[in-house]
Amino acid sequence: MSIVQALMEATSIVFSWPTIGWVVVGLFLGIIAGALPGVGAALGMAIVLPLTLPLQPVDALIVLVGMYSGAMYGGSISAILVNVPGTGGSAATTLDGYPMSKKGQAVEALAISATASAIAGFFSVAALILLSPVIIELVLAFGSPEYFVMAILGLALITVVVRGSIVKGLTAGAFGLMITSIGIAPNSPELRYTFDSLALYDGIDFIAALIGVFAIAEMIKLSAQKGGIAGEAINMSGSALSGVRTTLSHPIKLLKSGFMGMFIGAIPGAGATVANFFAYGEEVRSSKDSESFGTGNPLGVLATEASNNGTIGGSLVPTISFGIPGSGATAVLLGGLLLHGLRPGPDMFEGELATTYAFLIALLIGNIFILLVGVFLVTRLGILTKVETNVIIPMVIVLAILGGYTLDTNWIDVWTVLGLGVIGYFMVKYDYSIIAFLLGIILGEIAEENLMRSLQLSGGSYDIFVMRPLSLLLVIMILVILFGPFIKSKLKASFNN
Amino acid sequence: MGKDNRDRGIGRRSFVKCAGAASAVSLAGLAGCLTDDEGDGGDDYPSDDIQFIIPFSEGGGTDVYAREMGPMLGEELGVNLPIENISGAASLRGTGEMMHSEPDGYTVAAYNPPSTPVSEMVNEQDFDLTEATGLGLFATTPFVIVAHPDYEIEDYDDLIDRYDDGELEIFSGKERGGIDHVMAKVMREEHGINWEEYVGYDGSGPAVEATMSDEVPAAISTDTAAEAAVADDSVDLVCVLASGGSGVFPDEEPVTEQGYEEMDYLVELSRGIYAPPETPDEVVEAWEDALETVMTSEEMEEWSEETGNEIIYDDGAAAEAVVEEAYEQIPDVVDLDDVRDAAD
Repeated sequence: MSIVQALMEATSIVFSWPTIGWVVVGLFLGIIAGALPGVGAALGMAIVLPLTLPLQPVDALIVLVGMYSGAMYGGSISAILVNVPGTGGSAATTLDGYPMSKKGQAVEALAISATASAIAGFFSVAALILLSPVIIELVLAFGSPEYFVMAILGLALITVVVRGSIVKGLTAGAFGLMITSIGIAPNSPELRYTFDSLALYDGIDFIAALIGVFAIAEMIKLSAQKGGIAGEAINMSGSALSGVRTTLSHPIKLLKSGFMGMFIGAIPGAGATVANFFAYGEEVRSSKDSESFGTGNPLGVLATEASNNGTIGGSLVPTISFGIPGSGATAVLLGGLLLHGLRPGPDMFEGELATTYAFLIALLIGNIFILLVGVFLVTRLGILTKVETNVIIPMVIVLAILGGYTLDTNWIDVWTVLGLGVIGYFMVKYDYSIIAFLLGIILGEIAEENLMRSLQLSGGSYDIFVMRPLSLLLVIMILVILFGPFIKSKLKASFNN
Repeated sequence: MGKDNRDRGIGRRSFVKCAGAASAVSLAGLAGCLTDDEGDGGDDYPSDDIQFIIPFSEGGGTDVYAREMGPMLGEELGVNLPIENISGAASLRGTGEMMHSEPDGYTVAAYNPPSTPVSEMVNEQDFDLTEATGLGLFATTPFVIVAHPDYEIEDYDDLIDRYDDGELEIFSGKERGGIDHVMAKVMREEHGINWEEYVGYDGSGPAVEATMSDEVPAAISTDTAAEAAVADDSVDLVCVLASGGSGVFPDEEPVTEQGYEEMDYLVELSRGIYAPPETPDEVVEAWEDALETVMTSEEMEEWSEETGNEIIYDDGAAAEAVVEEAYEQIPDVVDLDDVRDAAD
């Protein structure tokens, strides 16, 4: 079957009834799963997976990928409204999304999120249809040394995103890294700080940590405030349309973040959380007005939300091509493929090409649905920010605790949510950067595991990090991030003299 | 902002209600809390829902089987069989939960000897897996070795020669301290494959991917995890390690046919269902009957054919035997302290 024939067949499948209905059902369920902290795409899809058994394989996959896409967007809703990232992929969205809500601009922030998610999602899936061979090459070029250097690049971003004392920022980052040393060591079966408890065997779940430092910490802070999240004296301003306009007026930033998400998403194990923070860091770094980030800069929401929906296209490549899922959600999707008799591998791009295209086209169509629902329906939830805090606080705390427990039915996650919530409150109060802490806790394990493995592969030589083109490029990027501003100001000074 | 606040208030309340309800329902569904009250394993077993623990994440190999056969088993047993994924701690957390439950037949778990036993041998727990009550086996998954195509490795003999003459040094598979690492050590002892360094990855998928990109020359994998990459010619299939061969690669002769010692206690995952120690016989009988009916049903066979997930049926005694064999044989051939120290 030729590509054109397959595309035409796939299009007719997607637009037939009831398939088109399943697109909507998947996205709708995904948005709800994404907005609920701790549920997210993987768990939501796993709950729905057995229910898809009676469906046609293509319909079942459309429901599952629709949920994946919907959840990626849905995570931003609670991130923006109540500072609770529904998924790891929207953790960085809170950084400017929630301050916008506090300023009374929740509706605009939600509209930016929907528009950026939809457009970036659309273009990254469209690019996936065209670029999948190139993405496969990228996946294979990314080995253990590159993973390690990428994690260090992320840690180097701490110097870009931290406001105020850099020492406090580095301390917060080191605290995050230290937490990742809990649990079984990545390269030997050695147990560290588990106190003989199986619950601590896998360490501290970073999703629980980020629910804690965002949700619980903010609720403690809000408990001293009268009125709603947006404050009594603040008037709601901004409209859904102005959010759409803001997004559309920055097409380059939008596509840059979206494609950044797509490439990071293609690397198994990196995923939406890493993409979300990288896109945010890059937006802050490249901005002339970097000081305004963290105080409600709409571009912070735009970049983060474009990047996480961008990861979807990228992450599907290793899953469909080699049966290698790069994240929890794609692992469930892989389970779905197998459950319905579809085997990942070359056949998905040959005999089953029409099915593959059908669910990619469903993803494309789904983005239009996200845009409509996001802009016209979800923005109405902006009023939540005017609801009295004594109503909001108990609800968010209950959702955060339920979310923590739902992650892995492990009570340690609930204690993490509460414990790091309190620590997070004091960190914010005394100006220790939460984002630096999170970069540490998200990237620590990736860095340790891949450093050890790389050194094993090289026989202990550190040359491995600069002898391969891609890792050398990443090392140069780290140097530019760390020393670029310093050299730039020196050069400027010498030119002026 | 032309809308009246009261209208929006309704939207807000219903949103929060839906959100709370959805979260609570998902939680209850997962935890199997929809059960009324616990049964006692009396004569009319089963009279209540049975908690089916999967000690692995959603979407993994064991989970895929459980979600396919779970509803059918429930139908046979006449009760609901809510699946609970208690993953983590190399499958020991969910397994431990089952081992510490009442032996009334209302908590069972699916795990895969020798993988879970190896995890327990390396990190000893306060329960003895050889005392678990076997309810039956439903599948086997053989291990294979794959290599990067550039090396043009012909077969197992050739692979061993390459390691012997120093052309290859690194061997890989899943994480160090896990079953693949133990397997690699046993293969060095028993088959003389002299690798120098074992590099571990976070699962068979990543190990196969590392082989594809030539980060490592060869890796141990399950046959299903290697299937797509072999079909794509991204990796070469070197050999099938289990004596029964592989349904995924039916044309490949197992290494035992080439005269290598059989190590099925280690190189083949037996997927089984287990209950706590001292579970009554009538529970075992009820499960054996239900499992046999389901695994030999047309529906299951069709699914197996479509998906390539192999199915078998064997009774509870066989399920117990594979665990016992793992505990008897592995400590004899591998120094577990050495594995714990991860010396190489």
